[in-house]
Amino acid sequence: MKSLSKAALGIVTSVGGYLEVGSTGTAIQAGAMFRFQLLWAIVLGTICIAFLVEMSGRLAAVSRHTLGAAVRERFGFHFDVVPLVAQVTVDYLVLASEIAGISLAFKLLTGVGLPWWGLPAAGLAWLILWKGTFSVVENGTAILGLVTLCFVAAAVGLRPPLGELARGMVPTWPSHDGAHYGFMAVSIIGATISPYMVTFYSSGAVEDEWDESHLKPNRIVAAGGMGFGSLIAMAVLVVAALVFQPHGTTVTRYEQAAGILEPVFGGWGRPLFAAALGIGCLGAALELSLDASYLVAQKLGWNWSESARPQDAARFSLVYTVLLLLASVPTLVGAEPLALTNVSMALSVIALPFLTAPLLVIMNDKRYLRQYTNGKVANLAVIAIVALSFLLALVAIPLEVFGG
Amino acid sequence: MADYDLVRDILDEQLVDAAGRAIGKVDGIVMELRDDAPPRLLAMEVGLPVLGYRLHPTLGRLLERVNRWMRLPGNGCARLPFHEMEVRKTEIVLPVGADTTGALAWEHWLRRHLVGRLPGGRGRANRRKN
Repeated sequence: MKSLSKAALGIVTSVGGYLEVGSTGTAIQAGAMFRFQLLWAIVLGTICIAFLVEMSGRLAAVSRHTLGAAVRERFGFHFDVVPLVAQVTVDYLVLASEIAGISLAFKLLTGVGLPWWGLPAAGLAWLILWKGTFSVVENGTAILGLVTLCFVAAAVGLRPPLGELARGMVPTWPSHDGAHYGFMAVSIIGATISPYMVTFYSSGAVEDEWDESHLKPNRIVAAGGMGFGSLIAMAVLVVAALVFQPHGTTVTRYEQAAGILEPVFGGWGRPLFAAALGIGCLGAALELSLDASYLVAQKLGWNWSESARPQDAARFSLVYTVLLLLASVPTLVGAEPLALTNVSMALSVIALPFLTAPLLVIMNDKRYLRQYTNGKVANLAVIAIVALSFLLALVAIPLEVFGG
Repeated sequence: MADYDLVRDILDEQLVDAAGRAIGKVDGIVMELRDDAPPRLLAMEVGLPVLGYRLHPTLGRLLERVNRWMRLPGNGCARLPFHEMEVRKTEIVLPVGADTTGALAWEHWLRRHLVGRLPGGRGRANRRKN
């Protein structure tokens, strides 16, 4: 069935691109410190992002407009300047973390210091965007990203106690470090409900020329892709819990986690971790730089397309070029990837309400969605997610200060 | 014959040409006040300085100065008449070609002077272009 094959491809794409510096870093820290107690945060975040992604895809398929464009058109520039600045800023910061993540992967593989890899990492991402098309980015990320399944293999191989795993899926209060637990929970949810994934998804749907026949595969991809992806994030947390927590190892620098796969994969452990991290971060870097370019171009009304030659979308191509160059700066000056990740995740959480709140209006706008506007369930989900976004945004800074 | 709300249906909407190519967003609307006649709408404005002015006059002036320094035609702004426009649900279609509107001044400049000069900028033509 054509619908099924579209869905299957979409799921592979989502799974392959799911694990990156934010979701990996937060999962490792959470597992090392709180064992399985924060699994519920990944579950909650995944349910939310699945709903958001489905809506974003439906909007693009029916209206042929992206979410970024629709917010400007529906709310006007005076409102839209806020999401524009907020989302591009957060995209930049997370992009800087991903460049740091790629650089760390190269350092782990070669021993050459982190700052040296800043420009090559950004340059590699730039080259792929400049010379490649959207399909290349999409499919390449998908296929290479499957290396992250090594974490699932490791989690299964370490034989975690299933009862304790199940209990971790339900929120419980920790026996120690309450503020840090809260901070980790917010960071995990922020890393999972990434604003860029939602807006990038609708841009991708328009690049792939989706129409109403894609609505059913869209639902399957949203649920299946995000669902399977979250299994990998949960696997990272489980492995960190079983490898680090028994020894009381706290992870404050990414490099401390490099040996995480050694108990299962022996000598292959470190290179495998480096490969998984590097590829995951590269995929995310591509999506983030594209997302920022998409947002600027769509909100300002420019022509845009990753499938086009750079010269046919000159302003669009300039945005990701400049952004990638700037994103290498933190790594060049010696920023540590985990510290960068934690900061960008907290800010991502603060930007989240600006993304989710407009959805309540746009997804019920018949001019865009015709007969495919939100039903009761979807609207209830949006309201709940918006409420959660505001709550998270409020507690993010205090928790960062007291628990970060 | 139909009535349109200027702010709801025109301002901040996407402008495209007959081929579907993006011209820009309606960043501003120009109205002329006349002493001896009712006011009339002159044109839709497209350009970053126009957006700048909407936020703050200093920002608008700064962007205007940058565009003037770049010596771009029309100082990076374009005025598009309402003549023969088609107001659709989610965009506005104009009968002129996107490249002739003057709204793509920066796009053309970058293509000629920067992007087109970098290796691969002119690449092989891919699936489709916007």
